[in-house]
Amino acid sequence: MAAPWPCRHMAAEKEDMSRMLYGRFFRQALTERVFCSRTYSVVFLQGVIQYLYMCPVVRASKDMECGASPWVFPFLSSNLFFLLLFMVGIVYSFSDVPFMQNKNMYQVIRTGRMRWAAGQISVIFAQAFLLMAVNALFPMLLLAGSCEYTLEWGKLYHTLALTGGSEAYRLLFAFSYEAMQRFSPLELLGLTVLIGTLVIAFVGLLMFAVSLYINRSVAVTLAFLMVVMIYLVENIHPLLRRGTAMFVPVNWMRVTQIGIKMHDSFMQPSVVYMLAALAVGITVCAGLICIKIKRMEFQWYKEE
Amino acid sequence: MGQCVIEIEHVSKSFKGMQVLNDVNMTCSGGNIYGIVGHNGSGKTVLFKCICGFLRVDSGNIAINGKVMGKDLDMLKHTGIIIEEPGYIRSLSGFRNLEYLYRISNKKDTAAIHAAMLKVGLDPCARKKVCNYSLGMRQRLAIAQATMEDQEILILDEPMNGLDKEGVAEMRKFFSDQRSMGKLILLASHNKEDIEVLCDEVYEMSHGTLKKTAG
Repeated sequence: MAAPWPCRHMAAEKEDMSRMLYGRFFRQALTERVFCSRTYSVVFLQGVIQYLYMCPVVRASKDMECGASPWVFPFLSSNLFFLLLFMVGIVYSFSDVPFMQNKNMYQVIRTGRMRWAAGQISVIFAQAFLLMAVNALFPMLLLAGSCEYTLEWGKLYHTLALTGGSEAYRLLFAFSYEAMQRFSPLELLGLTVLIGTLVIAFVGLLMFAVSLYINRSVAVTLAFLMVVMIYLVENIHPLLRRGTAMFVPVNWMRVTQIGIKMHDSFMQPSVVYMLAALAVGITVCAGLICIKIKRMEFQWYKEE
Repeated sequence: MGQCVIEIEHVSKSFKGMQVLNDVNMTCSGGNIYGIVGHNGSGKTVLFKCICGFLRVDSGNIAINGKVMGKDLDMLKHTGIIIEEPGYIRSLSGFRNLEYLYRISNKKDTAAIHAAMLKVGLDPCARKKVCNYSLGMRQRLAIAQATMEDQEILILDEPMNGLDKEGVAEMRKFFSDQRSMGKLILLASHNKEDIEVLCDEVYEMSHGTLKKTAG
């Protein structure tokens, strides 16, 4: 007959139930994931890429003696090549899925399976938001010397969108006049951060789920394929473009194409469709992750 | 105060058709050190992982104080573990690593971390990053990690790895002290002397079967 549950254990269990806050683990895990060499290198490279993209804008601003408003990130993220590089960095930052290095063993024994899973899912969300927020802030820093702090798009971007300025200054991305007409700067930036956060979180959760059910290599390969699919959407026949775009979430980050028609067909699905599809995708991935972690056998691997 | 009891009954476990644990039976109670010896790949680590809840058994039961792992218990929390190579956040100091784990349990008073590190011969105030630690220091840190929260059960797989002669002697005394505090200690080691000096009961694991050899 088993001995009664020891007093100390009972006290510890009670403490566990009442005091061991899920938020504590979340904060700890987020700190671990944000302040690591993997994230530092991704953010550094994204900063360098943004610098290269911003140089012509700064030059144009100085030549035209016209301040650049800080709301440039939506245009940047709508550029095909920038988005590709950006998302490759994101895939790299999540490439340590399923987060089961030897060090994680000590976390799981303290948190239990489900709290650990919930923590990792939340951290992916928070990491996605932070990466988008930092990237939205980069242009503001890079343009600081020639920035015009206004809530409007400003004269410079209108000029670059409507004249041959883009070519003259060899801009690496386009300013969409239609987007400037359709959205205010804050609206478009908010939409970019919202959709970007959800897309990155979806990619991260999908990688996590695939790495749990199949393996890490397949997860990374699948994520890269999802990213490369934006080329397919860009180059497919215009009549098929919207249909294809509906199944390529990474392409939805090109927010300046929202509501824009090409050959009588919208280039992107509606915002409602995007948000609904991402919500479904995220919920399904999170559910699959929880189901797997509840039952799975943990196999730890050495740190890289 | 009641004692911790681990009951392992008819536990079997296989991976892809290969039997790793075969009808393993064992009962352990607090205030004792149980030694498990066996060749590499004999199944010691798998047994430890099953007890912790990292692996699910194919048949049989592992019960901790009457609560069955996988049914009543999700994971053997409040247990100090050293299994395989200890892993840390390499860019942080030893103290910060332990603090990170300690705070997961929402504990704030770090005096216990200081005490645990001092007991295993590490300086809690040192700023040296774990990536610059020697193998022995990492092992000591792992022992501090396993004991800092006053865990009732200690599951230690080769805890003396990388320790020098003095370190081994210190850790033997440390584990003896833990036993006298009523802790249940499961210890796997290749070192016969560790087993002979420390353990109250000794089991040998061979091809997945466990036999009591002493105690």
